[in-house]
Amino acid sequence: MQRFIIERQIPGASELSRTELAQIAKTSNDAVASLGVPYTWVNSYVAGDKVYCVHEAADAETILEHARRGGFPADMVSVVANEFGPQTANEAVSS
Amino acid sequence: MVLLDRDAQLARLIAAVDAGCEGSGGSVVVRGEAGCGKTTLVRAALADVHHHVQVVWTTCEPLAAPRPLAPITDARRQLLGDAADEGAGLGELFAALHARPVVLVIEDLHWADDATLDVVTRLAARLGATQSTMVVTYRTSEAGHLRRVLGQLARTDATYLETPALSMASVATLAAEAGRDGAVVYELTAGVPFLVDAVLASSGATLPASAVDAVLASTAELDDAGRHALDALSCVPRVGSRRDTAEALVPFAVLESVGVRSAAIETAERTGLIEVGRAGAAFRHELGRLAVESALSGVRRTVIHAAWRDAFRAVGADAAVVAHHAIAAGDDDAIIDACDAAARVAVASGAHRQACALLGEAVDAARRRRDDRLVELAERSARERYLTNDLVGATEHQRVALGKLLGSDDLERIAASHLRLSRYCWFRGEPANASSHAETAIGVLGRRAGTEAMAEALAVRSQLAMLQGDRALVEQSASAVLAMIGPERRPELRAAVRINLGTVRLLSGDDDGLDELQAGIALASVGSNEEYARGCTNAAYSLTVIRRFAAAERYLTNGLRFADEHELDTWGSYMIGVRARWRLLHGNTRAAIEDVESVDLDDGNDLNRILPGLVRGTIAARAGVIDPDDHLAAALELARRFGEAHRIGPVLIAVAERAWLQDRSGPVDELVGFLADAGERIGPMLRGEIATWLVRLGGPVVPVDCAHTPYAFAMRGDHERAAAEWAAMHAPYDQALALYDLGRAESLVEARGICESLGASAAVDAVDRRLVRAGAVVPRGPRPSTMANVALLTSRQLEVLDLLARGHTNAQIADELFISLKTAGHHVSAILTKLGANRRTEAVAIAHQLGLVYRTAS
Repeated sequence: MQRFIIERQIPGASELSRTELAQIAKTSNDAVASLGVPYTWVNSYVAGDKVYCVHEAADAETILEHARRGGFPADMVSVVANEFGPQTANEAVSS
Repeated sequence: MVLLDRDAQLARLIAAVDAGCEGSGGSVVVRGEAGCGKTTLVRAALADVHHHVQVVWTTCEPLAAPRPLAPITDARRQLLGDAADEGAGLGELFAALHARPVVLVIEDLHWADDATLDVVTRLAARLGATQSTMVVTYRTSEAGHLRRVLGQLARTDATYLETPALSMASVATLAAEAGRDGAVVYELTAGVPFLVDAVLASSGATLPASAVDAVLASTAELDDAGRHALDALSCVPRVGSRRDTAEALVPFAVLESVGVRSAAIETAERTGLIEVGRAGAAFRHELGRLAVESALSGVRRTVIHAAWRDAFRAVGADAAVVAHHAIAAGDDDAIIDACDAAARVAVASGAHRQACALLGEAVDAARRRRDDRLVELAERSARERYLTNDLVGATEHQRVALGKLLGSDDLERIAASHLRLSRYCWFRGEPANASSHAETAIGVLGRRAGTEAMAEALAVRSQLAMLQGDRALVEQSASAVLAMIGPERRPELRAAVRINLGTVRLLSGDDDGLDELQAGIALASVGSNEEYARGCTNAAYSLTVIRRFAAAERYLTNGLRFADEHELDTWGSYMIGVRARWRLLHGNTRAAIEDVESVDLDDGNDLNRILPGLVRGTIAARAGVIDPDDHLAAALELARRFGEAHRIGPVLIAVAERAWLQDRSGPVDELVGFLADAGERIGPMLRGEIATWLVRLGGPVVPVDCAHTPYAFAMRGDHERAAAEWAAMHAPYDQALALYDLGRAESLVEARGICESLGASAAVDAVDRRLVRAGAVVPRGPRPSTMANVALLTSRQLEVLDLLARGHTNAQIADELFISLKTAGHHVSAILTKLGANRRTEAVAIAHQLGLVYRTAS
């Protein structure tokens, strides 16, 4: 499994209500279930006119297939090469 | 208003109307800045027109989105009275202008809606043979979007009149009469006649600080009621479609309902800024109105517009008028209602640009209100933007709709939204995104195989696959569609996939493709005009590529007539591009030039620029003339943007040919790479052509499958047979190239003769280079470059050349050919350029030398 960041352009994304987001989440879950392969939807962030999703799957093609089945745009799909945060600084100190 | 410095314009305007009465009607364009007296000039010129000339006076409206066709409808009513049939279209109006002398004035064209501009364009082209004159006025600084209509007017030799500001001397004269200081008045007004009037009319010892203040100064004495009347009226742009009539005035009843009583109007009238008629009141001039409106506070303006919105809605005024005030009042619910209604009217009359403006307001308001109508409004807005070629806006609004739909369980609607995005992306030159949206539509529909929605999605997939040259995918998706929908339903869908199927088969060298294509076109004739035009275009295009000229010509003739009858302009101009290529390959260089020169490249459709660019660039390269716009480079860039091999290949070949003609090394690596990349996505004809060019350029021999084309013989080294095949197909330039490849002295001489007759002087040079290398004698003849230029003359220009040779002056030429003096002049200078002559006598000498003109007995 690889982790991916998917950028979806949805003008007015920030205006979507909780109810609408709940419905979209259901559509996405159904799409995940229909795939029949390992797939994890980690989380999503709505920002301005875009939605950024973090998903885990075997490859980018599976990510795209999920988008196709859900009807979601997937304008950019990138593999997460590495992750780090404030705690990463400790690693540098200890090495 | 003053009428100074206008003698020349007045005389020319009167002369144009007189010429019209004598039977050579036409158009007059009066342009100048706001307040520069365009109306005054036209009024003065028409004051004394002969009594049998009917003057029809209309004006366009300064609304955010003007009422579609308002001036045209008004003109029709004035000309035909109650007999006017609202649905009769342009024919009736034109018949009236044809029947008797009419002066049709259309004022303030810069405010016109698209539908009106269309009508003006078409009228301009047709007035020449009538006794009628069309007079249009517009503001120079607001004419950006008038380029097309002005271009058409220029082609019909319209008379142009400028109304510049008054000179300082004229202002000084007027100021002196009023006992004022001319220099001060000029500084205030910059000579704008309306402002000069206003400044001179304002009394008082000290002059106001600015010209707008000059207008406002006249309102200083008003009481509260009078001021309210003036303020309220300042928020109403002149809406009646005719000046000087009751219709242009705001009715007293409506004024009452915004709290303006007749006594207040009387007070306001004393400022001289408004006019009052029997039916109502209105500002006399837009500048005065704007001056008063600009002085209103934001809050007051909003309140007044809200009152007007309700008042106009209550009396059932035009939707565009209500929308104008609703937008200005800023109440979202009212904006949605009013703009929705006004947009429907605009769409119904073909005013798509206005519909975009209205729907844009409605979408913004619906987003702010989170209104349920957002999806529908955004989808309509996207469609209108697509129709006006605003593809970025179309994509944006379609995505707005999609975003709202994502959570819904209306899968078919989500799929339809993706299919539209697919189309918009394709037109933007983003084929990968187009495919991705089509595939998403198919994915969303999932297991709903067999539904019409799925069939629609698969039809789009088949079309994208056809454009990419992916025959296997076209076959697979097309047969799926045909299996899903029975023989009774959706003929346009079945037509679409059969057209795609036929096209891809024909282009991949399968002659049976034509039967399939023809079957698709037959289905379209009952199902869809758009598909019918597309079918004819695809057939003509594919048949031209495989050099089946006679069959291609039938589809071109039929398709062009159909596109014209049904106003399918995009397909019409695409087919002109195909015809230009057909003519070039078929050896009719002159007709090809006429085609590419007639295509309107300003229509904003990039796709329709590729073939004309290819043809223009090729002709220039073969003639050895410089192409300052480098049409080939531009065509290549566009073709690459669309990313489709069948579009890129021919342009790449033309670039290679140009290098060969100029004796430079060609783009060998690029051609090899393209060939490997395109593989089966291009047909045998294109593959063979590229492989042959690689050999001609001294590049590697790449074995390709080009069976059943003349290139198959060329690749085997049998150039003689290849030349014979080209000759049988009536493709002379291809034949000349094969003769060149054959390389014998006599075949080179024959190739040279063909190139000469086609005006391809650079090709003659290329042949000569080979003749010299072979040690043969280069035949003598006229300078090849001159021959080339002769071939570039249009048939009209040849007629003019003939008259030049008889010693005619431009005026005599104009008389003889029933064209204007200006057009005759244009033809003569084009002839001089093309023949490389500096003077008329020199052009005539060249013409005689080449046997282009008949020698007369004199």
